[in-house]
Amino acid sequence: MGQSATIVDPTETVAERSQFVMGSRFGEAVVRVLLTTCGVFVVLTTVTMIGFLAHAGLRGMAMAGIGDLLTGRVWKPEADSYGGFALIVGTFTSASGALLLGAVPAVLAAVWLTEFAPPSIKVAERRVLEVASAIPSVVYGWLALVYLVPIVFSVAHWLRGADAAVTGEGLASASILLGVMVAPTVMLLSLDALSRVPRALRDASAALGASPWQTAFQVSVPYAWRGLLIAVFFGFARAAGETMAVQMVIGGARRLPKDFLFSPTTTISAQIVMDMQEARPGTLQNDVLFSMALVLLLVSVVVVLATRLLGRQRLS
Amino acid sequence: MTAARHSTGPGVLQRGRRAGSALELVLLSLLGVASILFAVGYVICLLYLLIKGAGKIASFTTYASPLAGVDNESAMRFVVAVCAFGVIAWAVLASCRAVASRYHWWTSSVDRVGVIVAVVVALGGGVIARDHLPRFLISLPSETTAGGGIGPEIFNTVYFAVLSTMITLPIGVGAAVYLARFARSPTFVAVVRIALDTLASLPSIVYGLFGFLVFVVEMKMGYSLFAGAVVLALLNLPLVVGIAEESIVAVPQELDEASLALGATPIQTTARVTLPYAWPGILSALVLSIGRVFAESAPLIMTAGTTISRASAYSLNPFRGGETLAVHLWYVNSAGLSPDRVEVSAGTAAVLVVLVGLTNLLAARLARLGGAEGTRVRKATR
Amino acid sequence: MNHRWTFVARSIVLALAFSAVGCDKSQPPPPEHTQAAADAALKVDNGQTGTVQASGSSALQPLVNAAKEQYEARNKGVSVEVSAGGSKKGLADVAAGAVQIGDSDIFAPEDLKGQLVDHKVAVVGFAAMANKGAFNEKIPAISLLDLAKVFSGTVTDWKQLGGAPQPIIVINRAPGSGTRAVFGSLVLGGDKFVESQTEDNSGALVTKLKQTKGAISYLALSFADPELRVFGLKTDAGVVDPGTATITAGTYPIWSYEHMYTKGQPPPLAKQFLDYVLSPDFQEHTLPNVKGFIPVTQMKVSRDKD
Repeated sequence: MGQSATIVDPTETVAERSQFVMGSRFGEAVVRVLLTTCGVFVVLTTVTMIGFLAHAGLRGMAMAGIGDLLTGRVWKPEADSYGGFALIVGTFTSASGALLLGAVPAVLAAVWLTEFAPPSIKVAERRVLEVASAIPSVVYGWLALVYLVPIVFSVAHWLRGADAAVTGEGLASASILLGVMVAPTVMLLSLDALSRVPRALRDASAALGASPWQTAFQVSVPYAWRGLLIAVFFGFARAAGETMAVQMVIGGARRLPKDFLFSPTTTISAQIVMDMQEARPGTLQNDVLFSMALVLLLVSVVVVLATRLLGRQRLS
Repeated sequence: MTAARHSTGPGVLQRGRRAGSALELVLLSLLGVASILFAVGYVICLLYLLIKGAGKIASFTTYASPLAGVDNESAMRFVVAVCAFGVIAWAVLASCRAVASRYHWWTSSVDRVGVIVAVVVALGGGVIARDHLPRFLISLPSETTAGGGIGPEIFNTVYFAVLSTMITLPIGVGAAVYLARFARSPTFVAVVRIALDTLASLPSIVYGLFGFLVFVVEMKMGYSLFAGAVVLALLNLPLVVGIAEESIVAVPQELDEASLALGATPIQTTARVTLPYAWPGILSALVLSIGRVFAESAPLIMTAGTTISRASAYSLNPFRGGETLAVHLWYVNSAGLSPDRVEVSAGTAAVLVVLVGLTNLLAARLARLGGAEGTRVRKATR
Repeated sequence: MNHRWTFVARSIVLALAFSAVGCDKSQPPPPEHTQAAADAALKVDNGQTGTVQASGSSALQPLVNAAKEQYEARNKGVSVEVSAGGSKKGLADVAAGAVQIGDSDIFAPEDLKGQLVDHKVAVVGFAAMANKGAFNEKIPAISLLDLAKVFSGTVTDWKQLGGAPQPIIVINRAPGSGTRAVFGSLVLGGDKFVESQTEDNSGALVTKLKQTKGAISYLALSFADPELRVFGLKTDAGVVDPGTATITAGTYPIWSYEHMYTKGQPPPLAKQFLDYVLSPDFQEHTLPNVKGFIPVTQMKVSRDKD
């Protein structure tokens, strides 16, 4: 946490007594009130949004039953059946796949960039990553829809046989897409974390006769592990919450995938988007979607708390 | 020799250390190759997207609906032409600067002349090319036939960026200043920080639903840009407040104390000393928020809708609905019936990428111009 | 120095990309030559301005678009906005007041019937369509019972229907789709589809059906494609092929009305647009030219619920 320099009172008396005070006391007070309003506004907004979400979500949980929401296998709002197990499994699996395929390679690449790469490559790659991380997610989603899904389709048929009931959409495509999407951000965060490793530490390690590899993996990475872990958590949270892009490539079948990698399934956020458009405010169908959003919120809150905890330890 | 290649920076110690075993060298090279391929992969994808999109833009020759009858359409054409030529002129100018400064030809008067020439080229090109622009960039989208364009979507996207920044900037910077400088009770500060963290972790769909319920249904405004802008501003609030606060806190205390000692009030100090110093950081926060505005589609589907109205395609009225580029990209692929879906998507994605790239470039330029060097921006754009 | 060259390189790439776009050499067609403008010469503009918003069924979308083009040409100041999203979205939107007209393939559900006013504008037929291949060339028609078995997942191979051994891959529409609801209630007796991949975009669905061996799905007849196998119905009386004649006579049962719902009485602009869609001029001259739609007046049978 940063140290805030709160303006203390003694200076105000100096300004009061000075003949050259330019602002009026009234003007000062007005601006102060405005600024406080901004702070209060932030709190009010949060309370309203959380209230709105919790009100509908908890109502949905009460009427549909938490147990059924979390472990039921059949998600059929039109038949009043709200089993969200397939959704939760889909979210977790695709986010974990994104970690494996995107976040971990990103961290490794960041380590290489910081420890071993010549400075020009580092600068160039950093630029590329900044642009790549700013690209909208629907663009990645569309690219995956048009280019990745047919490739996965062919691979699936090659792996499982020409006549197997497999599709290009599914957890494989979703994991690859999410991995590609979170990798630039994770890499940038890791680069930041690794850049805080003090030169002296690296020099000391080199002086003791360690090779670059040993310095990197036995000195730098252990020093920066909290920052790296924060980066990976952030990637997980982003992958779990991703909506539109995943909806394009996950297939939309509201069940656990028959073939783990190559069968259509769904995730929490994709299902919320698909169902939200026709759900009417105030109905149980609508409320249950908020309940699933609460589940998603839980994941993000856990990640943010973990990040704060790790961050706090680092500074103390 | 090998030891020198593996140095992370200048320094005798780094250069002189031992290179490591053969296995380590092999793994290192593999890691290096993988890492470079990683970045190259992104570059190739983006370039391919740009080229394919540009191809679509160039090959578009049939209209779906006649251009006559759309308000402000010639103004929009002029603006697009000026922007296109302006970017080209600016790129040429920057390249000349980069090359010529090496040889010390580039004095400030030459620079001024160069800028004037660039502006003239931009405006002149705009006037000349106004009627010969690629139609994809200015004509209306089509639901069921081939040949739809994305003109209104580009306008709406930029308009959204402006509208939501107008809301986010005062509130976000105000809250950041309050948190960093004027908050009196630490508990309240902690409460606000928790609130921001929570806002940041809400799924973006929830914002969309909130906006739908409040603006579209309860206030009976129907789908409107205003609702979308408010929702996007709320979405960006945690980001902007967080980064702005970080920048303000990074301002050296000595500066503030010196200002106060000279007789300025705390507000004056903040306005004339702290904020200008923290400006690059705040600017980078705004750029990130604009990037998010370009990228969001789920909240906008529920608040601003997915249609383009022929009557108000380019109107500045914020209470009409309209879709943006990201929404159009999603809509065309999931609910649209146009047969040239793939080409339209390629063009839309390419324009989005170019917009994002331009915003980043512009922000990097502005940050270097204004304020004292904020370390954050320096690191980010090095 | 290095970052300058990167910058230069990036600028050159950007400039190249833009110049690849180039100037558009061909002139826009002058407005007089478009069909809509030719029609506009026939009618007098009554000077109204405003917007009419409609959303909902993608099956009705082609018809509403045809109406929109004609109507906008005759009333320059009026703008009609239509978006797809599924029949259920249309119903939800019009009930919430987000749009003025909700397009739907299905009758409004019980809890909304009270507030919505129905206007039936056309009739559309639906059929099961499949990937064309050697495995199903001997199957020109499927009975209603067998169709139910295929889409509920009981029958999983084309050989069980009389073709060669090939797994059946069912592709569904989204749960909010009116096509799915209609097909479900008429063929399966409810939404009892097997859970499989969903593809809601009709165009993408047609492409997928062409590419995936053994795939089958259900679409409005407007999307019938010669490269797909459109199945007729095998009944006791023989094979009934889907078409205008069989639907109007009532022998082909898989059809539904296309509804344009409004919340209570529509506002004036929306009412005028609806009047135009229901007018004999549109129903007799334009509607029959839009593929797959049948005027309500030609129907010899009727329904009051799905």
